[in-house]
Amino acid sequence: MSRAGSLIEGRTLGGVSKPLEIDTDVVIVGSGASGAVVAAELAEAGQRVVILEEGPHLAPAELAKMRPSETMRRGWRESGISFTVPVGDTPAINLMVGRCVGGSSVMTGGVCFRTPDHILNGWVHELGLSGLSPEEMAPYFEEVERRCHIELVPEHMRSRSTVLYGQGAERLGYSLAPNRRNTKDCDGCSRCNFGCPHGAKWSVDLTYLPRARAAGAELFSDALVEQVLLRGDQAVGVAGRLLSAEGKPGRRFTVRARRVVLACGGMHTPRLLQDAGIAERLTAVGEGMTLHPSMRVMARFDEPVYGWRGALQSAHSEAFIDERITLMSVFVPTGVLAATLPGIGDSHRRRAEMAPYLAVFGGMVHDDPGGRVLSRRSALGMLMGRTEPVVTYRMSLRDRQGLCKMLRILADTFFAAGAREVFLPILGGPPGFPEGGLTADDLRRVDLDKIPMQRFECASQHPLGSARMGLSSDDAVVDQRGQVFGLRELFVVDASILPTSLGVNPQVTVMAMATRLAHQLRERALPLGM
Amino acid sequence: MPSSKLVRTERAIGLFADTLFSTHRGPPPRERTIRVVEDAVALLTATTQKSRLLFQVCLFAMLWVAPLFIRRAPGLWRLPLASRVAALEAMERNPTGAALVLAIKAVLCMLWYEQPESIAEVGADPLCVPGVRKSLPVLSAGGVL
Repeated sequence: MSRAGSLIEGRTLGGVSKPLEIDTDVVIVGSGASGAVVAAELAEAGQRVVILEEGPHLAPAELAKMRPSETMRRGWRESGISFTVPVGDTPAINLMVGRCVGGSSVMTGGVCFRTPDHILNGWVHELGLSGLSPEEMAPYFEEVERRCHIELVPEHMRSRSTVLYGQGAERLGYSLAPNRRNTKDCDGCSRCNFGCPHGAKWSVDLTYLPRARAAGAELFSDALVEQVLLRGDQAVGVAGRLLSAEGKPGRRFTVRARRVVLACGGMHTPRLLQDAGIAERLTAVGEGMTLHPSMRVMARFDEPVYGWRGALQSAHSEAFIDERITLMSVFVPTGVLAATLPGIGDSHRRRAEMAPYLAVFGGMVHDDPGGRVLSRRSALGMLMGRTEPVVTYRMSLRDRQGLCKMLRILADTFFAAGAREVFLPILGGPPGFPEGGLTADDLRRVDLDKIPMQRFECASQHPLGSARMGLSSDDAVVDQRGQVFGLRELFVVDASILPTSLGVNPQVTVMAMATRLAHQLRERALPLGM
Repeated sequence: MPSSKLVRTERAIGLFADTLFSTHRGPPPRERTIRVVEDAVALLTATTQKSRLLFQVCLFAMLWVAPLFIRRAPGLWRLPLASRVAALEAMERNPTGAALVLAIKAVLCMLWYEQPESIAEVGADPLCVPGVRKSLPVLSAGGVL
């Protein structure tokens, strides 16, 4: 029987000049949705596993004491103040990604979708990938759903904001379906994306990582990996620095491993591959990223809504999926509501007092691959990307049209529900409406397609596909087993391998893909020696 | 005010917060502005140099150019409160100006409405009442499960 592993906070190991050196079978970079899955599977198969996480460990008890801004500061990458660089007629997109033990799984609304069948069938029939059909993936989805306690959000947990939107949708001839989330005993306090303070969201820090530790995996937090170590065409470990409580790089570490698994997400996995010089040979590294650009519409009702009372994300609609649009219930903190309404001084106060009367609904588009993670050696990368990767994004015409269509659907639905006015996410308000609020008649007079996209507020939590899986090194980075083309024992298992965007929240897809790859990895003999 | 390497940024944030959260009676209570400034500086200190620089560029550009929107000389700090409010309101109605204002306003509003007095004033509730009450295995540093 294996000895239980430890969670070692890297910040406690500083103050020593001698580098930390570790030997192991498998080193996994990143402890989020994919890294945690692979760690648990391989550790339970008897392999010695070390997990390295750049961010800190934030236990539910600690999250419970934090205000949302403190969670942003400690658990979100760049404190949540991170934007893509727009190329062409594209909005600057606020990229929000977790940076803590458990990764983004700690900071999501917990929405769980299986990969849509048409996406999986496209990967099989159009891209030629094998083993990814809906039938073949079903056992992996089932395993993830069981381990993460994925359940339907009951209707009574819907916020009044979502109920009103649903009434509008029914009047327009479409309906909302309940979301599935990885929760148990959630009482709907609407702050999932700042880390569940109750431990009711079954993120991987509460599910897979304890399993991995129980099977002997060692987990280091505050451990920034800076380099993949290569010997010839074989990965032999990683090197980096332990971070202090303030996030300053300190003591160096080296982990020598017989197998290296990258699971640090759509932005940092390509960065590590670029830094290893792999991008010169594999031109798809960092290219073709998709983001699921998302927007929301706020609507003012005569009655109090108190939209923050209820599950943060309880329902969705796939009524417009053929137009590449998924609608999703959501709410945002009062401060964010108040910020996005125009007003300074007294006018700001008057608008902020509307917060209890505001309903919010959002959506995202199943986007074309317009994102790019810039190499540290590129001009912009050198200028802006010394510590964090710079992501550029060019939005396609059909995605721009899709977003405008989505905003109109959201607004029309709120009006059908009885909203007095709606607020679209347009900086400075729509042309002719600098106060922001639009009545139904006003909305008909606004041509959204003619407004430059730079004026839209847009966000993303789903950077995908920047080291995608494929059949050939000509247009992909990893093969069907997740191994980087041309390099032995270097694997990628995270969201960056997804061949296309999904149109739905990707957590379950990422975890199911990681489970599948982990099952293959545990059957594959480790190389002898190091 | 807190002391840090971001002294000029702190002052600029304080000036903007005093204007944004003012009422016809004047600027908000000083201790609340101080709390917002401290929290904003903590956020900026924790983020990357790139994001910090982006925030500072937006902040100082906004403070310099806002008076131009009401045909006054650059430098918001030179104006009395009522003119500062008018300048920022005018800037916010301009699409380019709005981007700069929103970048700063989003951060400060988030912090401001975390203060119990501020959120109560607009009739909203704080986001849930924290407290761990579940029995899942929880990772703890150093020890075993």
